[in-house]
Amino acid sequence: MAKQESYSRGLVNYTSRDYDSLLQEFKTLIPKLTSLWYPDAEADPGMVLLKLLASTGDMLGVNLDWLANEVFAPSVSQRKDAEKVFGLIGYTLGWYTAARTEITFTNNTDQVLTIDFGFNGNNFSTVTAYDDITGQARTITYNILPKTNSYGASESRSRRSILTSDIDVFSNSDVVKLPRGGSCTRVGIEGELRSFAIPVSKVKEQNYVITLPSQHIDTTAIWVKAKAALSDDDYVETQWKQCQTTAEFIEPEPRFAVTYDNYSNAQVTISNYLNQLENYDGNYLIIYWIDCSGVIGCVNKDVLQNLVLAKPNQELVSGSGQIQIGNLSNTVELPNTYTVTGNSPETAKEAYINSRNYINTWDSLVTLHDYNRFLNREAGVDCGIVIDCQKALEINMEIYNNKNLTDSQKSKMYITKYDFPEGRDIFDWQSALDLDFDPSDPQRYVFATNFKTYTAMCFAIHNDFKNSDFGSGISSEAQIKKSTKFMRYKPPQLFIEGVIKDYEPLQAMSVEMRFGYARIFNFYVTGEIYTVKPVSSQVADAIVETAKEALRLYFSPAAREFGQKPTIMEVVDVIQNCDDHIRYFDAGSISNPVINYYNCDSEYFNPISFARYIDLPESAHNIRVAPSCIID
Amino acid sequence: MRVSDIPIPEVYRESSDFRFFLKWFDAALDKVRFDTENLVDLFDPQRCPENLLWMLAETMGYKYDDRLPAAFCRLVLLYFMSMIRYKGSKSGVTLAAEVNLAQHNIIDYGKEKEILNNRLEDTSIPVNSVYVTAHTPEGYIDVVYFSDKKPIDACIEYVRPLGMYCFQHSGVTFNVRNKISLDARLTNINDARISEKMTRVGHYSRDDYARMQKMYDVPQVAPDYYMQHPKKHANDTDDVRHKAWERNQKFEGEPTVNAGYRAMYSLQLSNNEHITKSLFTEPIFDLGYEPQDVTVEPYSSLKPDWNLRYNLTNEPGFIYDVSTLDEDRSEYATRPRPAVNPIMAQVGDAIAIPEDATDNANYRVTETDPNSENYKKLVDKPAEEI
Repeated sequence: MAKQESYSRGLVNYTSRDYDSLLQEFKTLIPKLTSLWYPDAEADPGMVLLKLLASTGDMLGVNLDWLANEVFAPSVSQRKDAEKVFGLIGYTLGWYTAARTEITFTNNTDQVLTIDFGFNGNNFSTVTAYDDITGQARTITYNILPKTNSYGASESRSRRSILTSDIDVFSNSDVVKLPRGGSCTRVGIEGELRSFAIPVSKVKEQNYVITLPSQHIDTTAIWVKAKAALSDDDYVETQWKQCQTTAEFIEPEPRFAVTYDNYSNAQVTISNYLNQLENYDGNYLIIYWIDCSGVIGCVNKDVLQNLVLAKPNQELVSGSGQIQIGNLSNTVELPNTYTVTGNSPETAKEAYINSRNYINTWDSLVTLHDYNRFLNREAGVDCGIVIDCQKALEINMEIYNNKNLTDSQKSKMYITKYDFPEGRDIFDWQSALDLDFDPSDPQRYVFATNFKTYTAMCFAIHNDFKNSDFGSGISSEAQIKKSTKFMRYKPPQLFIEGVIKDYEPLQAMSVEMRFGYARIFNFYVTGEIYTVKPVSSQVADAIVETAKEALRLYFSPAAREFGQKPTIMEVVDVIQNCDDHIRYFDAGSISNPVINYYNCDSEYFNPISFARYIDLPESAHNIRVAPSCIID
Repeated sequence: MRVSDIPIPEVYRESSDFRFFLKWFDAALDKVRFDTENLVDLFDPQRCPENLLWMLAETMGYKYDDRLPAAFCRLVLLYFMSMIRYKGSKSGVTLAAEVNLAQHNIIDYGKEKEILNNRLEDTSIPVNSVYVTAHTPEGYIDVVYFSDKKPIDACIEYVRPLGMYCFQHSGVTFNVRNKISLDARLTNINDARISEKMTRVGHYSRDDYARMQKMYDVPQVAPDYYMQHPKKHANDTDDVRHKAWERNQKFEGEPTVNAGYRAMYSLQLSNNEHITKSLFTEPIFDLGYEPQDVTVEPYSSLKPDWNLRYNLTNEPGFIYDVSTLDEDRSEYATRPRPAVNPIMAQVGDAIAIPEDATDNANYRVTETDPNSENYKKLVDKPAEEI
């Protein structure tokens, strides 16, 4: 057997991956590999080769490291890789999403009105808004999907489903008779209905993949129909149904799915059942989709008007005022309704964050993690937390065992019967917790232990504490010993009912869902910004405004979690990176803290608490550019 | 594939310059080749580099638990999807609890060698060592571990059905009476046919397991009468055996048998390596010097042999009241003769001498030294003098 060369076990340091370190290593290697060559000139052909090699090594090393990152959910950066990584756990990345809303039509006349919302072979009935959500003039068209009604009791926003799978929206008749004052609701979807026809034989040639002439496709509103000839009015009987992925082409049935090519272009893949259909090759497949405009297609409440019906010869006169049109705002998603905010395709990073709300749940609610994921994926919930009796107990035990806290601090943090309702007192807590005393003994009360079983206690923030179509949240001051310690907040009651209704179709256990009052701690930021070079006072004002905006975004409820206190490092990081003018942010001292809790005692902060960023009035000058950096 | 293996014209092979560059390419690309070949290990919980393990865990939906060594996290990941499959069920909670219990093993490995905190050596979990009972009407789940120490809970939350309390206990305790007490729920009740009570695995006496039950004595005064009345040829009902699971009061009063010895014995019965390891989170036996042989003079100058012996320091909790001295054999408190590891001066020392020994061979026995009454020494004596 040949003698193993000493270098075969690797002479290059394992950490040497970049050009400079590789080059350096190679130079030190030369005497070990040969005694015939001593390179002393950069122009030496050997040195040139060596540099080429180092550059190859650098490129390979960097690409390999990148590749390693692409296989894990937290670090995947490319959408095409994310599609595969998250596909493994059953999460499909979102593509363009058309804004949707529920539109209500009310009969304004004294007679019974008959309306047909049916599809006319080319178009749906439409309504139009002439202002977008910023108040700018823009024509936004919503298509009325026939045979869709308001949200049913067996539907759930929390299950990822395809709208089009069960409803025949191409029904050429959807007749509604509205009595005087009567109303009906249909789902409206923003965008333009477009279609693309392709011969079946060509689909086979293209390996069952159809490339569409547009990318602004809502992948949950796409339909495949077949016609014997393009001029035909009627469709062939075959009912092409959409699946989430091609992995669901199990049944030998007509199926299709939206897939993506290696460059993340959406395309339609047809099941190879197409091959088994007899006398089908002469037909055409027609793909219908809604070409949507994403987020700018959202509308405010009751702005849709000008109903244009697709079917001809109807008694309703357009613009006559016979029908009053109302719609829900879809700038905020609402549970238990069809309000959907328009969106652009999910990035890999967004997909990672969103997929955490779906992983391992399989759309069933059993464990605490499932409930937490459910609540956080629910429409209209910015962020939320669910705890049950055991979790509440664990939190209290954790606080009790924390050696860094004084007894007084602990007593403020414990979860109490005001946070979580009490249960039956049937347990011997001393032995159940392996303690040498009973913590809930009235004689020696330390912390609450007895929480209601079979209860999922939810704490959530809706619409950034603002009002929505479901009303305003319920908030009050929590006063202890005649001083306000924190704010208490609960989402609007209608919203809570909507969430619970959404939860019922997924319910795997008979657990009661209740919403509790979250502890809200308002805070503001104080400090001075130092600029790279002196700026005028107008620029200084603009910098301060940019910093405040960055803080508002960073600490907005949709970007934060419960139980997460703001840190000085975060504040400094956000401000320093928000504008190129900023050299550094002076975060004050212990006597002048950067994070100030406003009218509350932060010692009451616990896992069911939320730190809410607030802006002080401009006159407060809590964030300012240092006077020494301003020239006038 | 190595660069130096690429076929090239012989003329190049003769060139030392060319050979040098080939070696160079090999050296440069070696690490890259290794990485490419092993990239798929990133998805293997046992091989994934420690610094990337949290990302693998996150990808699978498990929050990396840094209270415990990386090796334990690897074990959790191996069993994680099985747990999730059974989430909400008794099987799921049991599996999660068993994985929890395996941490004692892993932490012990880590004490042996630092690298074992990262590398997972043993992928098995202690099955049948956890008892899970769901008390649904009361709203709680009881988890009892076959261990004297409750493991850190890293898994149960992923499978526990929401809304129920989950109380976890270690089911093994050592009490001051030198008994191992096992929670009765850790035994298979169907096999034992006993009610759910505390089971005390005390020590067995020889009477309990190693002999036949006594019969009525044959009255020597009237053997003929006895033979004529065969009903008397029956078991002596006064001669009872003690049931193993009942407290053996007679022997409990006399804690002569070493607690560690007894524990070892009980564990041999259970014959389960995992239980043994999880039960003794600190080993009570370790490698030390064997007891000094006080029968050999001068014993103080001889270094005793290495031996697996009972470690007093590791079990201060329950050894406090226990005397390991064998009072029958220790004549002086200053020269204790422990009950463990019975002293055998020479091979064959403990063998009983047959009564009809007739050969002239000498037998080595211990005898008090007439010159110093404190010492004993070995002497050779013919059989007839013994």
